[in-house]
Amino acid sequence: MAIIPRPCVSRLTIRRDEPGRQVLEYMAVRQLNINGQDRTVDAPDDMPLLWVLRDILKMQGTKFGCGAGLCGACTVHVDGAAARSCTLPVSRAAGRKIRTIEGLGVDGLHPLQQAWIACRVPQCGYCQSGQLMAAAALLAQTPQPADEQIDNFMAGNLCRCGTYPRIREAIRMAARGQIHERSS
Amino acid sequence: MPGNLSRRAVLKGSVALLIGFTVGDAGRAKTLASRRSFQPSAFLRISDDGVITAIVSPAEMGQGIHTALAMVLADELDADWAAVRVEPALVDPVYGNPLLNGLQTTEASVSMAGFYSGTRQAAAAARTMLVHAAADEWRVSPDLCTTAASFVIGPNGRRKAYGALVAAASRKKLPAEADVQLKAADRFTLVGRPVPRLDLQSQVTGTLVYGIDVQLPRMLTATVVRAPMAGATVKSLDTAAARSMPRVREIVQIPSGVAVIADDFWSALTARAKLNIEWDFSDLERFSSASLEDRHRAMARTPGAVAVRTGDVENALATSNTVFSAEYSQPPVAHAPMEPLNCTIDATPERVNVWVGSQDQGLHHVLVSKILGRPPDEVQIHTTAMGGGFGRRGSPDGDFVAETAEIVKAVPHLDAPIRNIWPREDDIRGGFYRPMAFNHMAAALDEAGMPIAWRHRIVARSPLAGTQFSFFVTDGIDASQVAGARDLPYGIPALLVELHSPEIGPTVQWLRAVGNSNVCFAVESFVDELAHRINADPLVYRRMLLERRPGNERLLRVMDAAAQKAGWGTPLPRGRARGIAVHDYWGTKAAQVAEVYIRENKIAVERITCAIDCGLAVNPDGVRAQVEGAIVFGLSAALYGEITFADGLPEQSNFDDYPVLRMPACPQIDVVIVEGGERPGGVGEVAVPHVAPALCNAIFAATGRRIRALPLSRSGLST
Repeated sequence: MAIIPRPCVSRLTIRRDEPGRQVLEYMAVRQLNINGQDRTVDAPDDMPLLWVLRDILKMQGTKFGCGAGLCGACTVHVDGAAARSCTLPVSRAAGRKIRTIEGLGVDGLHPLQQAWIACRVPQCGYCQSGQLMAAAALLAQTPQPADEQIDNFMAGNLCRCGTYPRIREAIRMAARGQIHERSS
Repeated sequence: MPGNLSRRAVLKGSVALLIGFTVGDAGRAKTLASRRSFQPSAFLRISDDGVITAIVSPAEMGQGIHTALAMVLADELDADWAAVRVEPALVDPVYGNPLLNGLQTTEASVSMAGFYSGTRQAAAAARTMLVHAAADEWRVSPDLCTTAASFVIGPNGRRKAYGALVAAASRKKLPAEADVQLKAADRFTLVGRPVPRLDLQSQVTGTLVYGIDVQLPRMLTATVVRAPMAGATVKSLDTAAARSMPRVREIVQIPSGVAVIADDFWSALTARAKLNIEWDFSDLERFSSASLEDRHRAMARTPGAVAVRTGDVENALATSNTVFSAEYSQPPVAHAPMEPLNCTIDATPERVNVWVGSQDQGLHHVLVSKILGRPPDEVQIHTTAMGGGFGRRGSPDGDFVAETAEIVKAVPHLDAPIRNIWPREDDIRGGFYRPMAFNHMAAALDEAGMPIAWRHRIVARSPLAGTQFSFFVTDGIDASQVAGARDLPYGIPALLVELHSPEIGPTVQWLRAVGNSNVCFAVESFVDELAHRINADPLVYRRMLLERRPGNERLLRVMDAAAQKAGWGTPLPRGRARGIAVHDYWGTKAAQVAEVYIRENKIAVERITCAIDCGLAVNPDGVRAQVEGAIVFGLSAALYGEITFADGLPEQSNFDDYPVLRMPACPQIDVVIVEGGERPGGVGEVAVPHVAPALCNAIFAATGRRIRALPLSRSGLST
């Protein structure tokens, strides 16, 4: 297990906000690097990164689907690799480069986002932040994935609307580098 | 009737200053700039900057209805599509769906059929008023004017943009319905085209605001521990440990359980885990899957309430030389939409605002008003985008919305907006499942092996009885459970359909395709077994039965289209086979062919082909997407979908023990849209029911193994 540097100030806090009520928790003011920006966050060690993003930083693009790392809706990049933010305690995200859907497109839309639009992938759209982040991690690691590689890598991302066939098509399109409107 | 240009439906007859309220991405309230606008009906607004807003009643849950109805409006209006936006309708009787008893609800795949004409009428009336306004200004006859791309075009090439005509058009009288002309279908420029969804950009950038994303100043988050089974009550409650957890603001008992309210969801959830609750199950029946199945099976072997009776089936069964019978069953399944259930309510002395992914605005409005004791006109439902619905977001008694109102009612001292989130475990374990269903089929056969009498007995707890949709239960027969059974398309002279609706087992609800899934599985498996009995090609056998009854031309056409596209009859390598199923879902006809590869207990669903005739396909790409999605949904249930019970409690809780389809198991899906005329029919649920029987029919063709109990995992088959 890697020793992760913790650029933060930890403290054991004892709060007495009501008579007779004593609350102990490990809180830390820490710096998180999110989409290239350093953000300062005060959160308990064990709060998952997902809820730090959504409820403390108010970044709603990363979604809650299962809370157990089973559905992939919460997928972000940590040092370039896909990670399920709902099971990643924020203490382990400090000091690493985090990318969320809000930072996927650096100059305009990412080729995958363009392909998603060209292939008209989303229906309800709720899982698609996670799908896109997973697909981006796949292509960063394997720029020309075979069909079976796409299926296996994307197996961690659920879609209850059933957009899998179009996701496959969009990933292939982005990998080829030829974004074009699908004919229907 | 929506779209009728009644005076009541006209919101503003003169220039309107429109001030709106919207929750922006950053979570802060933004006030729309005030604009002059023209709003001749409840269904559209044109502002003086040229923006055209389609105000759409049915909820958008991924099925594409917002874009499709906006297309209908824009086409009839001759609007520039780039200027069109959609706004979800607020609560008002004018937004009721005439096909659902006037309820403002989104169910049963009747949104397009319910609002198509009214939307066109409203758009055509608006266009007429715009033309008259321009004609007045130019002092020409309106007959000399045409419209295109948000312009009125007059003689001598004069043009005026709709936005520039807003003030003048607002001063015109609403034309009588008879004076409004609808476009001829051959002049459609949008309807019938594969137009991309309007929300695509926001969906792929993560900026679309779902119910769970709504952020309000000072908002607190609640999560509730509910009774492990319906009817259990709190016997004892110890909140001390939970109260000592960080950022907890309050813990209260409400009718549905115990609510923990905290600054954020994580804090509420971790505190909730510290609650010590003892539940009183008193004399609740602690059923198991086995006990429920035994009772369903026993009932299926006894006569039930008659849904349809033609000829004398019982006599034929008693006297015929050849009788074939079989039993089919399916377990309860959960909706499991990707976005966990949630609702946010902000109750202030002046107003109550509710943000929720609602499939039933009318019901939710009534519930919140009643529970909070507020006059209905002080309460507003803001329908947000939602991460899937499948029926769950329009549940009986609006359970998750009512619960949120009860929390708000219990904590007035917190004086803050309350957001209520159900973790995934609560969703999977929380009841309101598609009911368990058992079928007993029996047919008397003639010498050629064709059925001359057919009895279908169905046992399923009624999802509609006692709910806002109880008008579909007549003479004790829940229509949703016999759809496709009592209106069997096959030409069989004697038909008897019976229904048992036991009130046993878990709470139930309608779920995408409702009872059609069960009926289609039983009917299409049974007819397949009859075909194989005499070594007949299942496609040919079905054709013979369909041709025996007049009026099946459209169904025959989709069946043949699916078969042709799937290559039915062409040779397949060893271990592979095809199965077929056909079904008419309230007027929309579809057929599917499944092609599987099976080896020992491993099954690969290679390809599913579907041909659909939904009448007019308003957006063919949307239709395609709905069919693809419905097939994945139906396949998921057929392969693994099962909620099991022990001691009255569900045994599943998340996607590890309640598996749903993942990409590697997703087949190639081919969709053929068969032209079906000028009236749009339903699409959203239509392609769900065929998957299970087509799949089981293919498995039989490949292995000789007949599966009659879903899911396939029960039979040891895995992907």
